Amino acid sequence: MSSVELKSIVKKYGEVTAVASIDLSVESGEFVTLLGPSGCGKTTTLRMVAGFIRPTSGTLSIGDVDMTGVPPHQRTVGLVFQNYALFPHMTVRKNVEFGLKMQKVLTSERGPRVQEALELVQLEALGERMPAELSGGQQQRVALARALVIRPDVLLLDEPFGALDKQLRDHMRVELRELQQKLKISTLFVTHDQDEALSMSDRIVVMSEGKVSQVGKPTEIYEKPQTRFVADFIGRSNILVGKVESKGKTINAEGLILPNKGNVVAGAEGISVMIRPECVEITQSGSKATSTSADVKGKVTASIYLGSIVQYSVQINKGPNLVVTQNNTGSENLKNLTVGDDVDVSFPDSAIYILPG
Amino acid sequence: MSSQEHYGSRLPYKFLIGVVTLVIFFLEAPLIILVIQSFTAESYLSFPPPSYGIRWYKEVLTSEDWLNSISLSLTIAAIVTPLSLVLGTMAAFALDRGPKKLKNGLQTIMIAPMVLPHIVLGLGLFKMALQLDIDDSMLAYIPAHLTITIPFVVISVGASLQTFEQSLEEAARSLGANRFWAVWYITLPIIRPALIAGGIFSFIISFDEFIITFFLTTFQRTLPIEMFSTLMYQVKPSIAAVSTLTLAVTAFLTAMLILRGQVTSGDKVIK
Repeated sequence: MSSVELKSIVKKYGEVTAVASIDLSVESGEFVTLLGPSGCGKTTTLRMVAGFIRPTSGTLSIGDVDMTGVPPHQRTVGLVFQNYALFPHMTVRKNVEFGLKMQKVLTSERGPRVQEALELVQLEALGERMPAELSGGQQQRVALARALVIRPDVLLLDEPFGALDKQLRDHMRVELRELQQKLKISTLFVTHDQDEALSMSDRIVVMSEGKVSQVGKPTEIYEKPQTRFVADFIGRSNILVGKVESKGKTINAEGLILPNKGNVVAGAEGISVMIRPECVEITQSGSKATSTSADVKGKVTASIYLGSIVQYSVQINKGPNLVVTQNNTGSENLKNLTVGDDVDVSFPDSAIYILPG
Repeated sequence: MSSQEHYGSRLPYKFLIGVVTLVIFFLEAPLIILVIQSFTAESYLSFPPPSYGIRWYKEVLTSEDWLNSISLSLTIAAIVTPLSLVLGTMAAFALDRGPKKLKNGLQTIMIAPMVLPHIVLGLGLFKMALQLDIDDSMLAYIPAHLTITIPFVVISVGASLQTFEQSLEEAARSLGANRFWAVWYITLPIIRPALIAGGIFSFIISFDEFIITFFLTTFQRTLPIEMFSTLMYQVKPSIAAVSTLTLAVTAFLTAMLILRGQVTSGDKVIK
């Protein structure tokens, strides 16, 4: 059973197409993330599931029931907004109770259910506080409890961590994922933050310009991007344009000669080759006794210190400029690399990924 | 470092205080004199009164003419205020949520009666009331007062809605409230200060209204009209007593408004 299913959903505003024919499903208990840059249609899609926007065409079902034209208050969806949208004139308890009151749950049943929801987010002690008296993280939890208390068919989260500082965001990420797995609640999560998407999701839907670019598990999205957009958007990457040479044995990627492990047909041109910066290793020229198989040399043209990693730009001799990141392990070798240094460049064959199409 | 030094030397600061005191005195002096005169024990108006008493208050509160007019004015204001609030709030919502293209034009039309000369408005309403044969009755006073009170509600509620976070309503709707209940439980309580302000304005304006009502009455007299017609042929201290009573009601309501404003602006609950 799928909790949410979108079939050929289109949303147009006059001539402007916000969402161009999307097919999407969230299976029972699954955590699905809509990931994309702003304006890609991810929030519009979420708001269509919530019922605030009516699709121009296509069908939308929740819990296998057609909900395409059903108003928001007749859908059981739990919605958490980026700004939390807590009711400022009600206590935490009243905020959480509101949904039960609207769904005409008996007063005697409401108390225990509110208590249960507050315990779920560890806020049972703060029930009588007003939202303005809570910290950002606590407000976030109240919003979550308020959405969960109505036992929704699906939990919808619209950039819920956007307003939190980085440390709290990382913490809430773990907490939300744990809660979601504990409750086995189907979740549709919207974010532009790839770290959030990669760390929390069962499946990621990468969106671009109102269309789905790729759907897959976090590892698939990161390691096997299906389009250039996905390769560019998720993580840092070197994308080189190459052609197959030497009777199909090698690929010449902008002057960098790579083995044709992907078995691209001989003579193919304009193929996109992706090499992730963290897969490349660079060492000071001649510092290693046993030189690596690939005889690639280059020169460091820029270095950016980022704390846990250092990012270098390396100009390959007679080849492209590669972005390379090295873990900052405190090794002297890493520290000694400065702009202008000659380096040996190596990467395993498995780091070479040919983008399809 | 004191705050006065911050603004410069002490002399201009004292000068400022002096000017402000003078301005306040000239603004309020006529009212103060009127209030003092109303407590005269004599049968004529004079300042300062040779002797004091509440003789004229007794007279006003036992006079059938005065009591009738006070009662009529209070009744009109009591009917106008809730109607003005409901209609004005509905209009403010329509302007806030409706098509943006129409907003400016409609808002101008809504607010026009506030800036139009009341004598012109009164003349127009008078002709209309005659045609419909509703002059000298509630049927004429109430719509007439509403035309000038509704703009105040539209402005105060409209301003409040502009800063209102609409995602709060969406949150309520996602939790099972339809549009009406979302507005009822969430929006209205949050914009309550604006509703109270609009209500108090409506009451004071209706209670105090003279020009338009004057066109519409023949035999019936609201309080301002009774005061005017009394003044036409005699100046008795009873006028000062009635004026003081009116002043007291208005001052009380205005004070409530100001106090509410302070309470709500200092309230962290209301954004």
